[in-house]
Amino acid sequence: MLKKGQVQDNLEMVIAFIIILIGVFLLYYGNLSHELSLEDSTSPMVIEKSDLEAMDVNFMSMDLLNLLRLEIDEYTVGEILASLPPEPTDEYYANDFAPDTDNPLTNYAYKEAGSIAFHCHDSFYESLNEVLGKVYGDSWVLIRGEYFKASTFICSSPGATTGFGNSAIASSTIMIPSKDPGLFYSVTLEVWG
Amino acid sequence: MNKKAFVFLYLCSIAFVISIAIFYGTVDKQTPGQESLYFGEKEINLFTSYQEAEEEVYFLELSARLAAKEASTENFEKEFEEKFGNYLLGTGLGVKDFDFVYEEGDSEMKIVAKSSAILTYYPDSFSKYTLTPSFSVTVPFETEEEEGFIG
Repeated sequence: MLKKGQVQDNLEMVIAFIIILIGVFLLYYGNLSHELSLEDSTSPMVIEKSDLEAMDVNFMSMDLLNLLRLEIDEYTVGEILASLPPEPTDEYYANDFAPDTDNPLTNYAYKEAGSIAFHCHDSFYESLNEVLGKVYGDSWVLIRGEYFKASTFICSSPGATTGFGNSAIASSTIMIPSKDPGLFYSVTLEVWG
Repeated sequence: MNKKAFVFLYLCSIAFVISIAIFYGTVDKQTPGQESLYFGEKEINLFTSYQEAEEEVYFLELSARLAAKEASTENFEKEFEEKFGNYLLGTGLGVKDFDFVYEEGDSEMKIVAKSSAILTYYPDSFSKYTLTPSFSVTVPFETEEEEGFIG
């Protein structure tokens, strides 16, 4: 049988051992959380299901800005998208042609950029694809809509397999003004697999 | 076991735990610009703020471009500023926040705008990035005299 002093010694050793265990656990936990953080940092570097580089994905908004500054004829893409009305008019739907307005930019936007249901014309698509195709291949989609509302103008390349069950690999959205005071449009560039 | 030895053991054990807590508790203070959650986090946050600021400047630039093209050549400055103000409705900025300089060239007008308003961005909870937006746009500008001369 152990003496009182020996019991106390054993108890103290157990307590010391438990304290050391807590310390080791804290050390392990600290290291583990740092390792997980590093693992997280590597995940954005690899874009699954595409050939996109992380740099292009992280700086998509700069590509989108440069695209909006691109001049087609005498207008920039941003001007054209800002000048398209929020929704196609009934006349537009009925005839597949744009009504003439007093504003030459709006007329241009109607006739050159958008066709029925505001899907873009081939010539407008080609102009955009010259810039976007070099970076995003044939899987980009450009969407213009009212802020927080459904999109009303879509220009997409044939390789973009949008739809149910699929999701965009990367996207970037910019707010632009519209012809109506207080109404803002969102322009979104998406890349799909 | 010797009681003095146990006291020493206790002290060592507690010091071990405390030193770990102190180390991890002060890592962020020892790292320049505070600790990152992941590698390159601060840099990406900073560039994201730059992009955010660039987007807002582009909004102003595009508003100015649209307004300038809508303004008539006879009363250009007044109409431009009025229309530019309309485009800014709902943004928190107004035409009064800007000083404009108009430079008329050969068949074009350059508008240089500098703002007195300060836009502030917070890349993270420790950093602040401020911007006084300024931009310039150049639009076609032909007075009636020039149009007549050309025609």
